[in-house]
Amino acid sequence: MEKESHEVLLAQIKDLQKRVAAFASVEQQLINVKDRLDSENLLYKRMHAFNARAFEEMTDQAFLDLIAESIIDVFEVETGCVLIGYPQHAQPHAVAVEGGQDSVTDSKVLWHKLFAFCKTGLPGAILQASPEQAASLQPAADFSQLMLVWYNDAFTGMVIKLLGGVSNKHKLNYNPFDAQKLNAFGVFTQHVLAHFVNRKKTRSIFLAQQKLSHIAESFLQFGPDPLQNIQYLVNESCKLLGAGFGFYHSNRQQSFVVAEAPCMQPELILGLEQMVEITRCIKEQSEVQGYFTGSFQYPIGHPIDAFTVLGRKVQLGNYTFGEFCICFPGKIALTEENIHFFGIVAGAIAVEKRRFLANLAQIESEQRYRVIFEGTPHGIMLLNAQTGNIAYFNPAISKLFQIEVTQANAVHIEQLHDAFLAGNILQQLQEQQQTAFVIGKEIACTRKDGTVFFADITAQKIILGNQTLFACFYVDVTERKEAEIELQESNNELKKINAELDSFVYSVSHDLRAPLMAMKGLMSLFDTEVLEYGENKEYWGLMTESIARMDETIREILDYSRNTRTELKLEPIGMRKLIQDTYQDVQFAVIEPIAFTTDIHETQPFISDKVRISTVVRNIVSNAVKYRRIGAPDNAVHISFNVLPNGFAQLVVADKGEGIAADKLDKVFDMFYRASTSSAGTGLGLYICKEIAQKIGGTIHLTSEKGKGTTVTLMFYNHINTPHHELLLN
Amino acid sequence: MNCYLIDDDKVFHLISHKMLQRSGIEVAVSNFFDGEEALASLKKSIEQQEVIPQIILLDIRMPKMDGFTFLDEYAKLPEEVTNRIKIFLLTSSIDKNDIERAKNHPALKGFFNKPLSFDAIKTIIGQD
Repeated sequence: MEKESHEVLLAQIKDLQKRVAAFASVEQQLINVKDRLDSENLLYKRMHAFNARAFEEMTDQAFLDLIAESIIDVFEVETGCVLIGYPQHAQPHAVAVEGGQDSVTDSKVLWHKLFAFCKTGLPGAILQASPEQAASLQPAADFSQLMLVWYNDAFTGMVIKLLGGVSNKHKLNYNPFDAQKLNAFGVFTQHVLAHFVNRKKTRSIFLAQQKLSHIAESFLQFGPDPLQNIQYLVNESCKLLGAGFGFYHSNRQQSFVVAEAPCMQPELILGLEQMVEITRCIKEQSEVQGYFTGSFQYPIGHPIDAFTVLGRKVQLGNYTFGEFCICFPGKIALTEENIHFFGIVAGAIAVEKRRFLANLAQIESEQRYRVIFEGTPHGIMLLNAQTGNIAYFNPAISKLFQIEVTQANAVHIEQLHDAFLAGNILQQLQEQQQTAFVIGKEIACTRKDGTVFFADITAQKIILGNQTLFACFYVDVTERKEAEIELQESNNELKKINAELDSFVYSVSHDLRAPLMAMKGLMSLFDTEVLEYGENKEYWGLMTESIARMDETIREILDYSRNTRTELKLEPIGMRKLIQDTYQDVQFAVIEPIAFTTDIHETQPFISDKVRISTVVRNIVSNAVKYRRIGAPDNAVHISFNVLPNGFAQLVVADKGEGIAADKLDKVFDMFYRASTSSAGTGLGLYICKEIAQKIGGTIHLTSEKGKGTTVTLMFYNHINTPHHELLLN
Repeated sequence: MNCYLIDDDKVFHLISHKMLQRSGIEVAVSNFFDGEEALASLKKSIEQQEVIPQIILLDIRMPKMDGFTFLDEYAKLPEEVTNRIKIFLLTSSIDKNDIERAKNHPALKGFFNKPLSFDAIKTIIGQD
């Protein structure tokens, strides 16, 4: 049992030993992992430390120095040297040296020697200096290990080289150069190079932002005067972009705004001729790129040979205000960034210029309105419809009402009109929905001294701020009213005279006609026996004819007088009856037969002046009968009448009478002209017809052929659409 | 038949008389030289129930009272009297306003231009 137990115990011990060994192996692995983690942790910590500093603001050189120092730290060498640069460049961009040496100059010499020594080595190789080599590298002969590693960045084409060394004396304090270190180098250099590249970008963005914010701040500093702001922008753009001179040329004013000291470099100041020349270049050559650049030569003897110009048109939309340019000394290449900023400033100038022109337009229009407001003879005032207070009035109001301009605030509408009218005006304004309206015509206005004048008043609603006011316009119509009254009086007088004249003509015609008719009556009382005696019958005939002619003359004079003196009296006219009656009347005395036909269409009412129409019809028809071919068997009169849809009525009287000779046709409408001697006439008939046609709205037209007949065509305006109340009035 | 002839011109009185005579109508003509005279006579006849004319031939333009004023006064007379009288205008006026006014006057039966003609007399009698 014991032996067995011993064996069992041995087996247990072996087993335990195995387990211990296994544990040890596990422990070692854990230690390794921990080391690796520590090392990576350290690497990240260093990267983190690097990152923290990398975002600080510093020059490119300082940044490269930071990279170099960090690499040496990360790589844990006792002493080391880092070179950063492009392989094709003779000099490295950055050299960092750490440890070992007292003076930087010495160390630089040393490290150059070391690099020369390592030249043959391969990337990542760990070199062991031979005793001879070590001897030649004094005082670095003490190195136990030297290592040269480098990293070629495919993206930037940059190379980072690290040469590190550990001295014999301190070699126990440093980990050996191994693959892990190489790995860390690779990771870290990639990281810092990425930083370096991005930094260039972020740096340019940062600078751009700075300039932008500067411009933005400039906008904030803008004053109310656009011209001053343009001056400011010209100055700032020179300052911002490092130009020595600049100017803005205004097309409208034909003037230059030139950069002011201290922005200007005295030797860069251009003369007027040069500025004009540059302006011309900008105008002609900035179309394609949107800007213009070019180098200009100074005359010999000038402190600077040449200068470079950046210019562009100052535009808003399609409108060009002028040209803007800045000048740099010498022949230089302009960066895109500067061109870009220059464009922004030019835009700002355009905005200011626009504002300047708008201000100018506003001032001009204000001046214009002020001239109108103050110069107009019509009163203008701003009235508060709620309170009745007058906020403002123009000199015309003050003149009309005899109130002082300084009284403006104290003036109330009730001082301008009696209380009733003032109340009425305010009520109208309060209730009015429209913006512009007539308050009233010939409204009584009371002057300060109590006298009254009359004005037509119109109003316009205006909103000033949050206040609704009414601009009231007063037109003094006192004179007009007086003139109207005067006119009315003289018109009445004229009407009276007219009526008297009419009555006179009527009286005269009647008084002339009465004895004539008595003669006519007495003629009819002659005994037939008496007439048969001697030549009595012939005399009797001639007397009768004379009486008829005089009667005709009196009628025509009366017709003429009536037409010129009496108003139109419009009424519907039955033309069929009028024509028939007239014809019956005028053909009464004619013995030989005349064929009389009519063609009358009264499809709609014909409205005109009946007395005048009947005068015309009688005259024309009477002519047709009177100037028949005496004794001819085939005389004929045809009358047609049509109410046309075009607002006119047409009357045509055609006869087969003796006609009128062509050379007399153009005179038949003349006063007292007689084309025929075959019948008694005054020469007034057609003249009266023409006058009447004119008076009632119409035309008369006559065609005729000698021996064949005459056709008279009349067009009368049909007053069918004249409103009923006007018909009544007339 | 009784007839008033109201006219300020005595030549027309003569002419009208002769024309009426020659037309062969038996007629007693009373001559008046203005409207006032005629109206007074007419009123007097009505009052005294004397004979009143069946026909009045009236001129328009006369002194004292013209034809239209006469017509206005005439219209105020009792209807039973005026119903029995026929008034015609006999005038030398050719004023169309007069003619229109006459045509529209309710008391008037007709309008004739001077001098009185046989045709006119026929119409006047025919009205009877």
